[in-house]
Amino acid sequence: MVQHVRADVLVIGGGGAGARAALEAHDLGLDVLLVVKGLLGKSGCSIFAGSLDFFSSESDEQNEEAIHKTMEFLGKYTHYLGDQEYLLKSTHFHHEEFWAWLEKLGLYILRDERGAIVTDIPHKTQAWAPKMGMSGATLMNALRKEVLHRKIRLLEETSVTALLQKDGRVVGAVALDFLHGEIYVIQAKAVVLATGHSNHLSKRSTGTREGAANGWVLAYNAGAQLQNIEMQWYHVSDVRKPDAWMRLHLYPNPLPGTQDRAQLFNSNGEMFFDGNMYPENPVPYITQLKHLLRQVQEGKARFDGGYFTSYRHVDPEIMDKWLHQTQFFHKLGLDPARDLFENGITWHMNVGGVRANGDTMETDVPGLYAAGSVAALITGGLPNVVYDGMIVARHINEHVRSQPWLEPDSVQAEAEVKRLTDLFTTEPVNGRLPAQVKGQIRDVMWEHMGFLKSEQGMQQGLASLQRIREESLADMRLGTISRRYNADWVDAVDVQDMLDACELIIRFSLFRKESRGGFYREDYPVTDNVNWLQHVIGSRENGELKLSTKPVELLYVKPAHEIADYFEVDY
Amino acid sequence: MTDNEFVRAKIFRFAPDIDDAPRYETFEVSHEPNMRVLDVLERIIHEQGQSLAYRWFCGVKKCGACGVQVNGRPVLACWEPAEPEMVIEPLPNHQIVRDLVVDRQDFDARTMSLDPLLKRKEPYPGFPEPLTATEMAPAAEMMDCIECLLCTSMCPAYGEKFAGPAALVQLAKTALDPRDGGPRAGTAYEVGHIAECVSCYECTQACPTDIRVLEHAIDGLRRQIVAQDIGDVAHHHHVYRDLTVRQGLVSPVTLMLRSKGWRVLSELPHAIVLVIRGRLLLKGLIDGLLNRNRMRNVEELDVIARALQEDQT
Amino acid sequence: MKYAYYPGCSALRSAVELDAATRRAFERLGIEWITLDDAACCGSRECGGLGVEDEDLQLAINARTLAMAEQADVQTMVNVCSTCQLALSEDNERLKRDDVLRARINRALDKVGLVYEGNIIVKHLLYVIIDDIGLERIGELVTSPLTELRVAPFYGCHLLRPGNVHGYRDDPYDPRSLGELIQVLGATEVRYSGANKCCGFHALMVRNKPALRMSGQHIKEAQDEGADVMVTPCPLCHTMLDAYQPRAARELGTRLNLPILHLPQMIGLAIGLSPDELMMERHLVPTSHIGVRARA
Repeated sequence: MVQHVRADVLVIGGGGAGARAALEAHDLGLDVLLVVKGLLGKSGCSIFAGSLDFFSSESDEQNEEAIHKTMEFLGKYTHYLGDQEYLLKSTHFHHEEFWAWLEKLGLYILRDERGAIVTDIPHKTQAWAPKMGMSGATLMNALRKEVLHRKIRLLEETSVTALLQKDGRVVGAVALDFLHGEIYVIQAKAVVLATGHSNHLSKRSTGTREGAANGWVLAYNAGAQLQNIEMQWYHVSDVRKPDAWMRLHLYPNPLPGTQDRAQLFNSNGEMFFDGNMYPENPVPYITQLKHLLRQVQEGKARFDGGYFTSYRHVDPEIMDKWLHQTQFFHKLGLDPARDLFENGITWHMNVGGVRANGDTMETDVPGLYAAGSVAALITGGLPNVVYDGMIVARHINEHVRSQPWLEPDSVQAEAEVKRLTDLFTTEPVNGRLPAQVKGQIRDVMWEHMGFLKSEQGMQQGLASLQRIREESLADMRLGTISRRYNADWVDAVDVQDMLDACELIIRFSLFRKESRGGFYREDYPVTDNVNWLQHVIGSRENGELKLSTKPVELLYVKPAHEIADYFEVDY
Repeated sequence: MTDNEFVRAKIFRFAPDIDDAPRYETFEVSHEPNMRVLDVLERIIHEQGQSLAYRWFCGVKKCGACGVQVNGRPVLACWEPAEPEMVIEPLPNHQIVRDLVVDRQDFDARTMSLDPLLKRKEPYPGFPEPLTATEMAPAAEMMDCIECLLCTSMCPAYGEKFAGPAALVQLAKTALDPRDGGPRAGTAYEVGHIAECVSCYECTQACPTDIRVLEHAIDGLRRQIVAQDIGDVAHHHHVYRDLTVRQGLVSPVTLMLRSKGWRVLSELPHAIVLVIRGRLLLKGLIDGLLNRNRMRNVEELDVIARALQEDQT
Repeated sequence: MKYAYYPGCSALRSAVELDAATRRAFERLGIEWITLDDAACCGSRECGGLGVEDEDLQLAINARTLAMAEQADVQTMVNVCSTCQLALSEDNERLKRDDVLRARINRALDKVGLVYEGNIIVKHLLYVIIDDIGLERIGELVTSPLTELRVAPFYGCHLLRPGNVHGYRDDPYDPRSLGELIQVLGATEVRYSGANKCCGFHALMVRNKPALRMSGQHIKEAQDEGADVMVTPCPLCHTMLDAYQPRAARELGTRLNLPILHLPQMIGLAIGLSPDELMMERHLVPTSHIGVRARA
């Protein structure tokens, strides 16, 4: 039941970052083990990338100008908390290498009959591979095949439950393969955390089924620093019902072949948002959120409904030809030319995560790297996470390959195996399923850690989570002791991680006394670039969370305001 | 259905490692307008504390992981509406892992054995490469495939040899791509055993993303096989076209004789039985052998065929 | 109502009993028809069909057939084969929709003095019976109800799939029409899962094992469910199920003995035609006891 395996590099997570890291490391001659909690190419955040930011530069000069524009955009996209040196490098990659890399993989960047790339017109900020809503899924399908083709060692439906250390260095991990009911003790010279966004902590979230913020907790428990995890941002134009369709994005980005964008209407039938209100910004997610907040405050919308997306003004041919979303209208008997679709917000991306070095993806714990959305470098985005995967693999190849394997602390490994096997019980017979406890946690987070936060609400959230710890954990049990696809077993591990992650995010949120980007506090409704252009950093010391701040380095772009009302700033 | 009514779901349960035999369990959950099958499954777990194994990730028809059988039809649980009475079972043709979860590794193996990754005819010229929507349209249709396995689950020819429609769609994705120069037809024939496809349209019927699996993926590969003269499939097609033009109404005897060549001898015992029993008239057999069946104005077909060819040039 | 009757390859070659039964049934049902016996093969679906090798030629040949039907000054062209129904109706719709294609095809037809206008409906005999004549009227015409018979319907997959091409006249996953007809004729419908499945005929020429296996399984299942006879609206299925039944039995290693009727033969028995008139002796699996029981 317990298998011991060894690899040069353990990559945890199979999205754009993890898959790219695995492929790059393998091609550089490293022995890779890729562990994916879901199915490679079918789970996680990368599959949701709907549109890709596009650049058509015809000269170096145009390229420099475009890069400058992108940096301005990214400054706002990361609410000025992004690592700007990293942003510049990943932007160069995005502009100069990413598109060729996509096409070389065999992706089809949507063209028209004449052969021109289909973009929004006239600003040409977006392109698709080859359908709006499916660009990420298509890329991940290709990457899956690339991994399988190289016969890279792959464990799917396997969750890493703990990192193993030796003298403070990360030297491996323990993982639970819940498809087969087996436990792995893995030894590796380098461990890359590429677990993506940790957003499935709330009732409404774009996290896929298996998401549970394990990445944050694994890093935190190993002593790594977390940074800005309070900066949870919410996707506004997702679907209210049915529940299964919660993750359906009705993006505010410009559409193919036009400059039209989806519009938002409130409960009174008034249009309160159109991305074209911000023509310079093709990805106006935060401004969208602020406009919604106004509507909620005025009683004309709620966060879980009462506002609607309209495509009524959009050419139906565009809707039918190039959008993944349109069919969902038709499935419910709706006509996008006539009907609206009710929305609700979801926990989506986050600029925070594990603090990492933007050049090497190293965390402050030796042997542990963070790549992709789990790192605190940027809010996310397919080109950036792919860049991370590439960089981390190259760095590991140069610096770690020749190092010897270190034996993990056997006490630690055994303790983790015991923890997992102790969870494998159906007692007490009338107890709650882990999935139900996860539901309880997510309800608490929706209630107390939504977009509208306050000191009181968050303290109540902590108290409710504590109650769950005290009451629900004791009578939590699995529904079956079958070893085949025992999701209950991994859910039981996730419950613990979720409680830890939720507590962490609340404490980080209590600490930041301002509002910024997707982070809004009713008790501190200003964006304070004088006192709070800071990273909030937390790590575990003596078993307790220790929080501090570190000033942000504004190397290339700066916010326009010093202190301003939250609604005044456009990021 | 209104709110406050119930959905009754009879669900297949089987844990091969601890159960002696499969069974069905019935659950009732409250109904909500526009509920999907997936919502029902989730309610069974969350509201009733019943553990049930099923796969899903995205809920919005991108990941292709949630395929199940509902009332005898293959569906995506996230896509299809819940019905008041449902029998929910795992997808057929696949090994059951537990309850509604089926093995996908066999599909992976078959797909990768077809070596489906793009093999460029010419070295990549740099971004953006010259491509038009028209020339990419056939491959773009295949790019809608989310590998949900509904088509393969319904395929009656899927077995030891035949790779199945889903794997062939992945092959067709590059076979129909104008940039590709790989040996796709040969692979479809020799590794994919595409000749075993019975053209029953179960795959097209099952596809939730409206890919015309048989007409575009499988027939697309067949077209390449015919154009490259590969195997008995190409030969059969050449014979059929020829006989259509010569005979108009195709005689099965002539067809079999010319398609199978000397292999038709293996049909001889059967032919004898058919003649003895009167199913196959001796006259018909002889006419067929001597290629004497002809439609009355059969030469019109040749005129038409030539006219079409000339029109093209 | 008058119809153009397209017999197709099977009815005029390998399954002449189908043609005979169809004509006799037409007479008895009061249907007026004109036979398109100079109409060529629909393209079939063997290994995909003629359209795989030569898409235009199949379209043109079918356009010729349809043009001949249009010349007969009728609304509907009736056929007696599931594959013919699919091929002809699909090509008919394509030609109606696509002006450029239609023009190209008509240029070729012009060389033989024909033009395809696109004003004909392609309908299988089963739906002519059920929709045009109506089950109620059929019921009135039944003189020898098949009360002793337990009949398993076998639709032939091309009559059902793809559902959207057929306008979902029957649900491909749960078709009912043939079963309703069976009941109206006085027989009992045997329900079994193979009714809407494939017999495998279209791979027979190149790979016969799947076809033998599939057909054998459907026959066995129907037998196990108590069927006395199977009826099919498709002569290609009929060939697999009847002429290849002993070979299917050998492939499966089991005993099979189920007579297979063509659709018009079953109808014919119920409306007073004799087994001789319906050429039921031409089948490989003996049907004589069916004829006897039907008379009883």
